Amino acid sequence: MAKAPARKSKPYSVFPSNSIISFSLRVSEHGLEPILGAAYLMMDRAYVSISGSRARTLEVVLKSKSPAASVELDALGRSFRAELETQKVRWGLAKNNLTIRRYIVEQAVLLGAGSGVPAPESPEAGA
Amino acid sequence: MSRLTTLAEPAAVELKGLGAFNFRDMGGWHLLTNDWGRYMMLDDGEFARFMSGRLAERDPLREELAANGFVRERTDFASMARSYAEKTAFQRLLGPSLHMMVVTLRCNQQCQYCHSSVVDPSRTDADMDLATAKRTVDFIFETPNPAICIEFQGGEPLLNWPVVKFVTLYARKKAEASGRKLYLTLVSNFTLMTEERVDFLFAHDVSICTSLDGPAELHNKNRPFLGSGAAQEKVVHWIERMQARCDAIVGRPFSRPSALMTTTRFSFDYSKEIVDLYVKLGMEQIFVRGLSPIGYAKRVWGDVGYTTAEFLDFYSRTLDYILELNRKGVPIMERMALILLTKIVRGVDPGFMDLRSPTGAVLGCLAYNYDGGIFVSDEGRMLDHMGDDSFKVGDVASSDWDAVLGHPTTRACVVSSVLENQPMCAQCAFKPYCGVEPVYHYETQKSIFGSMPTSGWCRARMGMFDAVFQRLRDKECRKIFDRWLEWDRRWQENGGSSAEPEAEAAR
Repeated sequence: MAKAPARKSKPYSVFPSNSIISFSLRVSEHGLEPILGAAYLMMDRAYVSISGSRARTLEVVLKSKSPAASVELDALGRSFRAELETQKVRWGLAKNNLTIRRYIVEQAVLLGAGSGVPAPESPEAGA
Repeated sequence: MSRLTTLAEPAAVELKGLGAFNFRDMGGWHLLTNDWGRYMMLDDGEFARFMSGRLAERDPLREELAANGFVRERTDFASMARSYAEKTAFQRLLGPSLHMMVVTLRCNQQCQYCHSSVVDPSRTDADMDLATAKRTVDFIFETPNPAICIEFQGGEPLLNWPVVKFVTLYARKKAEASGRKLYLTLVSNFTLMTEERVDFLFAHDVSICTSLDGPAELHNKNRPFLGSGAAQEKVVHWIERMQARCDAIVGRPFSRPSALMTTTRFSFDYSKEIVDLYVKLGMEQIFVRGLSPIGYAKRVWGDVGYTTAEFLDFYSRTLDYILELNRKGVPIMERMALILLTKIVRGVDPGFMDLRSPTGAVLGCLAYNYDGGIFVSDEGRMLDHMGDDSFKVGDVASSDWDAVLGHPTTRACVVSSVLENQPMCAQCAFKPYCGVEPVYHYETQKSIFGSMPTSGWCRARMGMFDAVFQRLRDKECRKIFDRWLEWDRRWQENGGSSAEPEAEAAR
């Protein structure tokens, strides 16, 4: 069984005076979508900026929306890493099953276009 | 963690055998859903075993997961395709079913959350005239959906009674000539109701919906008459009067008037009293609707508004009280929960435009202003009243259906409200049952796409889904919910309109 990567320490920098924590993340290690996805999900807690190369390394900068000392920034960093690891699983599920999802949607569309659709139960759906 | 929730640390995951699904930590258990609308509720131990590939081949849980499309190598393609086709049947409809006609902007009430969206009763220039009414009905019958629901709105529509009567008769005639199914609904504050008007509405099978925010002291604070006077007593009088008349007519139990409530910050102390009043009046349902900070309500948010957390607390308390009454044999349902349950448990779309992907705007509903302007939704029309016509997609005098459907604003609303296009929604466990509203996000975030991590819309919907799923897991609640769903199924079979009334009450 393959274990999901443990949440090991990532290279990051903390700037308490600016309430900022930044991560330097290799795209080949984490994947582009999980990095972007995790950064997006932080937007309720932090201002997020992303720079660097989509092919090599991305720098994700999180500026806390409220003044944050080192402790709070560490918590913000742990939160981001948890999001990143979970994003890898969510994207893994999506990508592994892309063909299946596409096939089922195609079948559903064909069903809808033909006579094989289950009888809708509401007047509107029956229209 | 984000509202999507994260995996426990460290999480062992074996992706190979897992099907396509989203998951959510519900606190002690996990919710799994897939695009086909199927769901499973696993305790944390079961979830960990499943995700790590440690569920035995003959484990009954694995069988159940497989039957619902969560095990990759055992996906029943035909069954999942059928579920998906049924769940998304509304996407194959040819046009809108719900047509909201604002027959006047005039109103004789000065509701806390609405009163600048309407005009003084003396302003007859804000009435829809007969020629515009006729053109509006003609346009509605140009749209291709064989089932049409026309909802009279305002302002207070009874202030323009001649147009209500005309549209009723004209639309009935056109429906008969074209063989189309027609539903008519009047959304009124009842203050101008008369026996003669009830006679007409009953005779022409017009459903009647009103606004009832609760006990007199609350309702009259939320919805005072212009100039003063008690509004609640009139609402209660006419609900009782119409119910008595309905009950006297054999075979008309489904024509009883319905009511909607709008939650303001003043409602929070009246959770039980509001429900008790609905029960006392013999109402089958109560729709606990939150206020949206758009249109006029945005300006008075500081006076009547609240945080999402405050609303969700109120919603949960009210739902629990309703469930408590049900356990004692008192039959009362909460409409929002019923809408979500219809999607979750029955796997069909209940016709609630706000929770569709893509949104119901234009594809499911249209709003017609008193002057003939056509808007993607009533929320879009309200923005126009505040001076922003961004969501206007035509005019009954000059537009045809093709022009409205192909309007750039229509297309933008569709693209921005497909949940697969929303980064957070695409991974959300509530995706199969949810929807986003472009007008809301345009108003609150200046983007029709919105940004879900900071969206009040998303926070409120996720909170309500959480509330319903938490109770769905409880066996006793589940039995009550099943009774509600059975009632609703029978109501539909007996000719109830599938289009949820939009009702100006929730502005």
